[in-house]
Amino acid sequence: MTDRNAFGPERDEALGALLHEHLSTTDDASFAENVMARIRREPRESSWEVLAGWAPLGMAAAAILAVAAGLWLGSARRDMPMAEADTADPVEWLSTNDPVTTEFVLTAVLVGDGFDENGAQR
Amino acid sequence: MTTIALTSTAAGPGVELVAHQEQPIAGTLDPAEGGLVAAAKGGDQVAFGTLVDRYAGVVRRVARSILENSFDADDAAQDAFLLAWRNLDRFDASRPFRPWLMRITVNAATDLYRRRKVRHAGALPETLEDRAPGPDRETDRSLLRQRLSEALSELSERQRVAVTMFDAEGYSHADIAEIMDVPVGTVRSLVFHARRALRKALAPYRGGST
Repeated sequence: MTDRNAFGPERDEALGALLHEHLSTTDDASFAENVMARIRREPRESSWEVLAGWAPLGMAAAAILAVAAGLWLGSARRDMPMAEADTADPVEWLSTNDPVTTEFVLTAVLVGDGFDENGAQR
Repeated sequence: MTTIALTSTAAGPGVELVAHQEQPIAGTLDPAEGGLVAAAKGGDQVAFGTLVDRYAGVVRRVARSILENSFDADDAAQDAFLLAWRNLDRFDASRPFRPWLMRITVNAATDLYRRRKVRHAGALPETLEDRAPGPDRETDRSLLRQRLSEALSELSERQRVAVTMFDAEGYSHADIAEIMDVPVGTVRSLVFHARRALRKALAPYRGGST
């Protein structure tokens, strides 16, 4: 046990041997057998196996949730009071029963641009 | 194998120890072990059993370096293997298995140490309780073990695990830093202070050849 290179990478083999002997316990074989007995009682499943075990239940739950959500949304939509505007077809807002003449369109444009309704410049 | 003589000079006891050189070491990737780990990841208990056989010794020693009490250490070591088994599917098989297992071991033992700390406060070290009279040489060894046990008890658990992993198990500072999740400089410091304390405590038993 020397003090040379106290921070260096060299091992103190005498001290290491002492520690090794002091910390070693007997019968590693029995210990290993005990460990394996515990492991045999607790077989390990991989993450995928665990997920696979839950998959049918999870899918059934998801399906039930989806159906319930669909029913709820449907009933909520039926019960919802709607404004008339909501139900009107946007096309109806743009159409009219009156015939649109060329004069009507031109008047609308020209009046806004400084002409009177007869087309004469103001 | 390296024979290390701790034969005393004057008053100290004559103790010979054989340095235990196990398979190296932390950061290397052993292809055969990679196959075992891959099989174990697939649920092969026999493959995992081979890994348990291979690492039972070092895992128990590292746990004991933290916990001191061998029963608690074996509990922590068992927990470490079980945690490793349960979490194998998260382990990156392209990396060496041993440091990963060691990290689990250090964490499991440290957790148990903190839970046991209060309960065992003031308990006698195991070697004192178990000590029995014997022939001179055996008595000398017993004294050495007792002094070592006392000296280890005076270290922090981080110093104990660092010096054990460095000097007894052959890990590099960098490997220990990764396992303990501390900077390399901290590991160097822990090993340095632990060695200094142990050397001082064991000075009467130091051999001339070391």
